[in-house]
Amino acid sequence: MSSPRSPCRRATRLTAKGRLYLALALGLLLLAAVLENFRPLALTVPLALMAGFSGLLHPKVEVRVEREVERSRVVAGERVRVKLRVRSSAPALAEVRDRVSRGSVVRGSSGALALLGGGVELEYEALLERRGVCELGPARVVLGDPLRLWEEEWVCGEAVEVYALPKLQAARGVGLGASYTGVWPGEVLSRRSGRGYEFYGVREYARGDELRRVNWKATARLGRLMVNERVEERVTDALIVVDAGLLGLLPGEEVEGLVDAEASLAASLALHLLRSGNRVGLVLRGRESLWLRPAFGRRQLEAILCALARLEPGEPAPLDYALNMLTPYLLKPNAEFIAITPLLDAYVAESIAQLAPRYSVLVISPNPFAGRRGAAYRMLEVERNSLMVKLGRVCRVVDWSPGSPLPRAARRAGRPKPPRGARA
Amino acid sequence: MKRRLATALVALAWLALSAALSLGAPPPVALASLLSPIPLAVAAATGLRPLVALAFAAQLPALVLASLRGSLLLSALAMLAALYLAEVADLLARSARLPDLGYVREAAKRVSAVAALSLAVTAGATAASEQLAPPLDPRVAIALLLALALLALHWARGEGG
Repeated sequence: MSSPRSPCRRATRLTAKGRLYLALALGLLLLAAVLENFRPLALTVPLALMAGFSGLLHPKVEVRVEREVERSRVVAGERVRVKLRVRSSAPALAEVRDRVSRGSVVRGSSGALALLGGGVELEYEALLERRGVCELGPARVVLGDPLRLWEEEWVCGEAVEVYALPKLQAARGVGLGASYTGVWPGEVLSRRSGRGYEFYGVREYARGDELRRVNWKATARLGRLMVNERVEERVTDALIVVDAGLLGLLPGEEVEGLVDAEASLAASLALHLLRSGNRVGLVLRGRESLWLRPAFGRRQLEAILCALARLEPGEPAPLDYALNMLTPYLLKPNAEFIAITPLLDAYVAESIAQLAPRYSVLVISPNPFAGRRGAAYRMLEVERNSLMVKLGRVCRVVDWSPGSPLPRAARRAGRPKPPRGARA
Repeated sequence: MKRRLATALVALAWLALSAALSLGAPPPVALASLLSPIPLAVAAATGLRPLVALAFAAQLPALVLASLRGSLLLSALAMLAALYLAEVADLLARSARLPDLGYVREAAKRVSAVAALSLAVTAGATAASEQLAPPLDPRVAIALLLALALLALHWARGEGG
């Protein structure tokens, strides 16, 4: 994708070397005045002449920059190829630098010293190791006189955003316990008979029923043709809430790693649920809070992945606002509520427990203390386990170690529970 | 390979200049001057540009002493030589960390052109000033040059916006 040609902003300034030249000239003048001897003034002559002739040899030019970025969406760990073309109206010496806000340049260089004229092309590859948003550009072209006593900086083009999306992992086998279902076929058991896999009941044969559905035992017992009915499997709505408010308890790098794991899990769940035809929404709690109403399809998946790419840990908005105010607004009653949170404080667990009567709640808790030693971490882990046990009485809780497969942890957590209100 | 050769040539030329300026100079001045090629060579090789300024600052006392004791013309030419070698070292330092797409060769030509023009005018100007020097009051000369420097500063600020 090419960025359109946009006008360049120009600024001229004296460089540090230019200031040194001036300071040296003034220093020699002062020295001559102090010594009352004009002989040191002879040293200012070549200084002034070099500066003067250098200024005269600087041409007036106009600069244009075009950038071509291979793609604007990559998965974390992939590379993006960038081509930068710089042209000027006359030959000029320039330093060209393209801004890469995150990641690292692994092939080629994003900067160069070049003789501009017909056109100069820079090609490089940026590796985006972590998920996030990388801004490429704007490009800076610095022209100047031959001695670089002053320089003209051209800032050209707008920044192009490249999203490094979270890596995906296996998310099948989690199971949904929602009792609210939509009209489209899906994977969630509804309360209707239809074409599914789970047994629903037996009824008398009606014209058009398939012969393979005949229940011969019931037929023999009752003396009339009986067929099996299956539970209709349909789609449901799901809201995924990702909690990235993790300040204070963990060191900075580990918080980043944990949030990456949460984003990856949320992305994988969203992909799996959307592929099954469900509507999926998203609520993020982090440096920037964001929410997406449940919807179908590819566009919704892209919006979710881009939102997760932007997720950063930070001072969160109160979680009860997200849970109590937004959830009823975004999610139909008895639909699926999935919370991804490390469960580091009781307030979070209480807020989630309040939703259990109205929704089918699934909590997937990445364990931030897995493999750690130290009395302080053990105490925190004990507190976390106690919160999980309390929460486990009202909803399904999956204790997950980031890096291990989710389906295995989900199987240990047992079958999905429908909402308490629906069970009654 | 070319960079290393250029760095070595610049360092040798600077050393030769230092040796010439150190003749008859007091020991501290001579020592500073003779040690100044080291930061210059390091700057050209590694890209640490502030070391070029350090090398020039170490050379400056010897230059000032040469202007006070010796011929005006020779001291002006020595200053020009020091400026030219420092500019070449600065150019090499700038190109140490970024790929060069025809920049260094063209920049070296332009710096050399500036130095050559300056050499021609310096030789003429200092020779003429030696003729004029006796009737000219040094304080008047200093005041005129100070005014010129302040004008240059004002112009530079104006360019910077």
